[in-house]
Amino acid sequence: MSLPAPTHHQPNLFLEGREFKGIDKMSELEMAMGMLIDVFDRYSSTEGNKDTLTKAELKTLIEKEFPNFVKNSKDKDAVDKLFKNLDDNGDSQVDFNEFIIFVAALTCACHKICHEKGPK
Amino acid sequence: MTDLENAMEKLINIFHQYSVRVGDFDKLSLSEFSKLVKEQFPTWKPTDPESMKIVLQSFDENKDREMDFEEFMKMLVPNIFMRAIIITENLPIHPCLISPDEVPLQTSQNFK
Repeated sequence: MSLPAPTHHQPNLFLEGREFKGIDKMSELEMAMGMLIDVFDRYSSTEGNKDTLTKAELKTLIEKEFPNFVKNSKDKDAVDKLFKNLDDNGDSQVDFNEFIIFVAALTCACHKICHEKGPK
Repeated sequence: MTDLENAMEKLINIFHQYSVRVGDFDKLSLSEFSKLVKEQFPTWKPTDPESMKIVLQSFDENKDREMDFEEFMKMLVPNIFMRAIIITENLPIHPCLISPDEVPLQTSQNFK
């Protein structure tokens, strides 16, 4: 699936874009999906291509959004490895599609852990 | 919890809200899946039982006629992606879920 080049960048449009009709009626699931787009956007827009994550942007995203992921200096390689794994098309950038697949896989892993720890 | 962790937890919780109702508490039966789509994606069309069955089947990789969490995420991914395209293209429509006719149904995702 290839992403057409966006005509212009609009950060946080999903949650703040009140011009969309019916935005108040977004379901819980739609809001969660919007949040994922918003988070990606927040970090991807800081440098270079505003719609992709550079390695530095990805590192910042992980440090801020998954604070328990990188705990000590040994884990620095983990981010490098992760970036390499996520960059599917080898262009040294992580685009939204590559990012969302990562988040989905991570969410599946979290879900498994939820059940291993016992029912709620 | 960070925003991203929040969003991920929401996805898990919403799935469970529907999966616990009937039979296997961790899988979406056809009826649970149909309810989830109707309530969480109100603009999704078509919603007749036959169409819902077709969608579920297309994502049912282990052919157990139910949707487990992994299959659920695989269904969501192309839809989140399509939504992001709509936003970046600044299309003047409600960021709704694209119906199955418009999104090529992907049955295999490159999960690492």
